[in-house]
Formats: sequence, C-alpha cells, structure tokens
Amino acid sequence: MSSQRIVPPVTRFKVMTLAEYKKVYQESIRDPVDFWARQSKKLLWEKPWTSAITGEPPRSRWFEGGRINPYQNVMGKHRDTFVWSRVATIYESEDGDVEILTYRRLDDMAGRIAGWLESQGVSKGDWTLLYAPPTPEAIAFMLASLRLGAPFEPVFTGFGWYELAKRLRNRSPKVVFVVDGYKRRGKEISLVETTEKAIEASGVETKILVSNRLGLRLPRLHETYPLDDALHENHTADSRVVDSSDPIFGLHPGYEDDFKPVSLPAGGYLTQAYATSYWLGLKPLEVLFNTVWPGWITGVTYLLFGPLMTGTTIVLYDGAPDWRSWDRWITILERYAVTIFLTTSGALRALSKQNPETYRKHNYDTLKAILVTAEPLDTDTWSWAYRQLGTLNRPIIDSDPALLSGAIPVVNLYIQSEIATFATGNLPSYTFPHIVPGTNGPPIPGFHLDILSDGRLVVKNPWPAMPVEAPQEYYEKWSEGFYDTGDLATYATDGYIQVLGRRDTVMKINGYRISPGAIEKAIETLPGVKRALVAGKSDTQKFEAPVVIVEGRAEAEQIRKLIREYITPIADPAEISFTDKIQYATRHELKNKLRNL
Amino acid sequence: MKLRYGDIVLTIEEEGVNINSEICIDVLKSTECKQHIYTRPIENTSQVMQVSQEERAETQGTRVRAFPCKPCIGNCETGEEATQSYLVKSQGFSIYFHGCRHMPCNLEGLQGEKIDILILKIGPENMSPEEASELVKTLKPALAVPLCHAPEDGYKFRDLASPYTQVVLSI
Repeated sequence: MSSQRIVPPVTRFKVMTLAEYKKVYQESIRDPVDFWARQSKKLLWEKPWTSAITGEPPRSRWFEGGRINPYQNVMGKHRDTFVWSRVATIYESEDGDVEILTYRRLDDMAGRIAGWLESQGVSKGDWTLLYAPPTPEAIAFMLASLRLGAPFEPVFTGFGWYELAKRLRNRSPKVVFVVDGYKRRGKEISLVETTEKAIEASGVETKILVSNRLGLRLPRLHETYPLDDALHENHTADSRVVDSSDPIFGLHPGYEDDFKPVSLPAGGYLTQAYATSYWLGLKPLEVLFNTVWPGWITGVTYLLFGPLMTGTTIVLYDGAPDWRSWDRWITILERYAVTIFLTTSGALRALSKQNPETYRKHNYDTLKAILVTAEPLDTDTWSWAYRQLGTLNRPIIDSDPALLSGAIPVVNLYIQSEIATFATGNLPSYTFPHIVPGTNGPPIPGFHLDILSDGRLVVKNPWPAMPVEAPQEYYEKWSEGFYDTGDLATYATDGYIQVLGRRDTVMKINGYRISPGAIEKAIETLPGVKRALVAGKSDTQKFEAPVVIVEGRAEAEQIRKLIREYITPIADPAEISFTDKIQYATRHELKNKLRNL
Repeated sequence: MKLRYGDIVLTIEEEGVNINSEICIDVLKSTECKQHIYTRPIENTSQVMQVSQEERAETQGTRVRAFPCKPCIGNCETGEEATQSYLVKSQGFSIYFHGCRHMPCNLEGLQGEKIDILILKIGPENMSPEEASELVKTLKPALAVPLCHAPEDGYKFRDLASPYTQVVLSI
C-alpha cells in the first residue's frame, strides 16, 4: 500500500485539505437524504417531488410525486444557450474519418429517430435495445428513446449472440437498434449475423433499425428498416414527462449465477449523473474522451448522460487502441484538444507496456485530468500514468517535462452498475484533497461507505439512483441493513478506500464484470458436458482470468470457441481442464484454491 | 483527413480543402472537384474558376463569396493584398476559409453570418497562431481547422483557441 501524498502541480492552488474534505463529507452523510434532495433541485422538474425518499432500502423510492422530462434535462435545456451551437460529438472511425455533430444537429437526429420510433408504436414505458459501438447514431438512438420516455438497454458489442438473446428475452424491446459493424485492427466486425441469431434464438418479436455504416447486408429478419428511413422522417416526437421512479435505462451486470437485469430510475439517476459529472469538472468547453463503451455503466453515465447534461463535447472512437500503433488514443487527445481522459486501469496497464517515446512525441497540453476506473489501479501503473502521460510538454508551475515530474491529476474512481455513478475518488471541481496513489480516493460526498472488519465494502445509506428493478441477489445484499457491494477493500492512508477486487466469485476481467455462472451455463449446453465450474484467478495484465473445469467430454478449442461466440472473447479462459468428477462443490471453493496456489 | 459535419464532407489537404467535391480551395494537387478556387495567385490556373473581389459564384446549391484581404496598420486599411478569403454556403452550413496573411481590419462583410466551420492558414507566410486565435474569438465558429506548416503552430493555436471553439488538428 502506498503512503505517498501527491498534489499535482495544476491543482496546487485549488486542492483542499483533508480536514476540509472531511468536513464536507461528514456533513453530507449526516443527512444524505437532505444532501441528495438539494442536488435534485439542480434538475428541471415538471412537477416538484413531494417526498425525497419513501420506503426502506433496498425498495426505497426517491423523489416521489415528482415528474420529470429526462430529455429536457439532458438535451433540451441547452436550446437557446451558446451550447446549442457547440460540438456535442466528435466521432473518429478506425480509418481516421471524422464526423461532427453540434448539440443542435444531435437533437435534430434524435428527434427524427424518436418520430420514427413513435410511428412504429414505441411509447412511454416501452423498452428499446441497442447493440452498437459508440457512434453518433447510437448516441442519437439512446436520446430518441429518452425523448419518448422509453427505457433503453445498451448491449456491449463484445457480447455474443447467446448473451444478446438473454437481454432480448428479459427486455422484450419493441425496437432493436444495430450498427451493421465496425472495424477492429483493420478487419470488419459484422454485427449482422449475431443479431439475426440472437433474435431468432430469443423468440422475441421486434423491429430492427440498422445503421448501414460499413455497407454490409441488412439482417434477414422480418421487420428490418435502414436508419436512413428514420432520418428522413419529417415527424419529430415531442419529449415526454415520466414519473421520478420510472426506469430510464437498464443494464445486465454480472452476478455469480448469470448476467441479470437492473433498471435505474429517472429522477434519482439524473440527479446523481448530473451532480457527479459536474463535480468531475464536466462543463461546456470541456472535451471528454471516454474509452468505455455504452453497455457498461461508465459508458452510459459518463459517455452519454453526464457529458450531455453538462454541455460537454464527447469524443467517440470505435476502433482498437493499438491501431495502427499504440499512440492512437494519444493522437485523439492531441487532435481534438481533449481536456478530460477517462479510461480503465487495464487499458493503462496495456499502454504502460509500450515504449514511452511513442507517447512523448505527441503534444496534448490541453489535458487537465486522467480519470481511471473499473478494476483496481496499482501504484506502479498509477505512477507510470502520472509521470509518462500526465507530464505535459509545457512546464506548469514546478512540473518539469524533462524530469517527467507529473503535472495533471491521475484519479482512480470506484463505480458499480447498481450505484450508477462514481462513489469514491478525488473530484476536480468539488472535493479534491491530495491523491494517494494505488487507492480509489476518499468516498464521494453523499455516499456513506464503510469497510467492515471482514473487508467488505458497503454503502450504509440509500442513494438516489438505486435500482427500481434488480435480481434477488441485489435485494439480498441489503439483508444486514446496508448494501454489500460484493467488493473487498481496505482503508489506506488517510482513510482512503482501496478496493482489492471481488469478494464473491464474480470476475473482473480487464475491467469487465463477468458472470462465471453465465459461462458455466453456456458450456453445459455442449453434449457430453455434465457440469462446468468457472472462477477467476489473478492475472497481471487482465486483473483476473477465468479458469474452467469441465466434468465430461469436449475439446478445449470447442470450449474456447463457444465462450467467444456465446458469451464474449473477453472471457477467454486462462486454463481449461477436464475431469470425470469435479472435486469442488462450489465456485467459492475453486476460487479459494486458485487464490492459494 | 475526411471530416463530415452534418451533410458537408470536407477533405482536408495540406494546403487547402475540398468541400463536398463541389469546391476546392487552395487544393494544389489534382482531385475530383467541380470548381477549384485559390486564395492567392498561382500559376497554370487557366482551367480553374477565379472568384475575384466581391464576386459570387454558384455551383449546384453551393454559393461562394470572395472577400479581398485588406491588411491594416492600426485601424487603417492599407490597400489590397493579392489574397482573398471565401465564404462558402452549402447544405445550410457556412464555411469560412481565411486565406489572408493577416488578421483583417474589419469583418464587415461577415456581419450577421453564423460561421459553422473556420479553416485558416497558419505559418510564416500566413497568420500567426495568436492572430488566428483572435479571428476565432471574433467569428466564434463551432469548429476551427488550422492548416499549418509546423506542428508547433497548430499546438499553439489549439491551446489559445480551444476555449472558444472546437479545434480539430489535421495531423
């Protein structure tokens, strides 16, 4: 554990003392309901709420009686302000082509798609689903759903047909939006076949809207429509008002047994998304490059909602980080005057393995902060990011480029789908005490976090974005009167939180939260397999990697192919072994065994 | 670099820009373009359209207006320079290509124009990054694309102008 205390040169004159931070934090958790109620007043309510919170957690409801227009709070409020003519999205394809939309044009696109959705029978409360990389039209589709008060689920395109089918069955979306494909290291990755297979397997009757970006064939399904049809729609639907607790979007986080649906409420979610984004420093004239795709909570809250609510410009890139070389992301920072770079610990670890000269030849002096999330960020990688990426070309105060002494903050933040926003970390525009490398920083005001004697990281108060729909596992995690995150943590220097990894058997692979049970179920569909057991083992690059034990007969390559196609290539096993009888009764036993090896 | 802005597709070249394959400004190498225009005299331009001072040209819905460059000392115009700038209107967007070597004395001709994209030349024969950023503050475009001889000029312009517009470097 690190005991360093770092104050980056650019924050030297704005950093608060630990005592000042503690005062703000303690005040926030003395009455978290009042704290969040005050934050909610920064939103535009059509009808003010009457009770900040009703019911006991985990079934509490926030801002009851309130009615809110989510689209107005994300996009509409910028109309008639200077933000409307500012750039909302900059998309760069792997080939290097650039597409730019201002807030006005993005609103126009979202309005037309919403008009088309409405003409297809989508109305308030109907689910939609998208299976697309981060492209401007994917952003516009999510906004179109938001406009109609129709909750949406973005599905990460790294998931295979079996996982997509599961989400289709669980959501029964009226419309599915798909981008035909994207480039990965120069190769076309088609999403057409996966979509066809998933829809057929799910048995769900739905309509497909396709962005024909790569010019691939359209899915051979009954009701398939090209996006151009929607964009030529003259009718633009009005934005709708919803109840505070109506779901706004959903995801399928990984639980021990499977990936399961979680839906978040409009009023509470928007309150948290806006507040935390503002505290991170997102605002008009800032340019954010977030490498996490929609389909994961960081990609929804800090690629869509937070940046747009605050009038920030978003950079979208759907190619590989190493195409054609490992400085691709750095070129993006340089080219678009990016001010805030948000990425994962795993990505930084991969970047840190390359020759530093690859990055030093670039000038990205506009950058103000590097935000890091997903799995824990070790001290060495933090230090590399601070010195190699975080020292700019231009000397700042006592930051010397020649000495790689670091200039801008590298901040590690903790997030979880059920919490919906960052819950720990230094906040450049709110509570910013010194940084302790290797930790996730101090708890963010409004979240009463604690670490129990057995290492469990828990949240002791309800938070506004708490799910309105979740699996039984989520409700059970509240059985002791507080929320057990499932993560293990320790108190580091100055009471900062240091997350160590999962306490349960859910795996964190390259920052992705992967369900071992989902992999087991997929393997058990193979003839000749009686049972499968999966648990994660420690991995220096990926943080964790799956180990698979199969009871029965199959080929290792067959298992790998199945995991790739059914679940995701991310879950490619580190080891596969076969046995006549698995000696472990539970995943926990296997995980403990792997930990002790 | 190919840059799409709404229905406009700009191909950014080293010295100039191709706008929707309709108008090419200062594109020296042969490209598929219906009209070629230049901000300063060049040789062998017999096959290209010359848009002279205050003259307007139109091609398939794309309108071009030329602005002669009038350098100044203090607030006084000092006469004509053999360079000009262009305002191109296409697909409902306004693109201003600043070909002048200096910051103009006044931009009366552009009064009331909402500029979507500003393309400007920066370098020893053109405006300095500081002058170019002043132009950004005056015109307030949504997007600014500098064409630079030296990368350092581009970085300096980006750092000065990015608080006022979205800068895209054509690196």
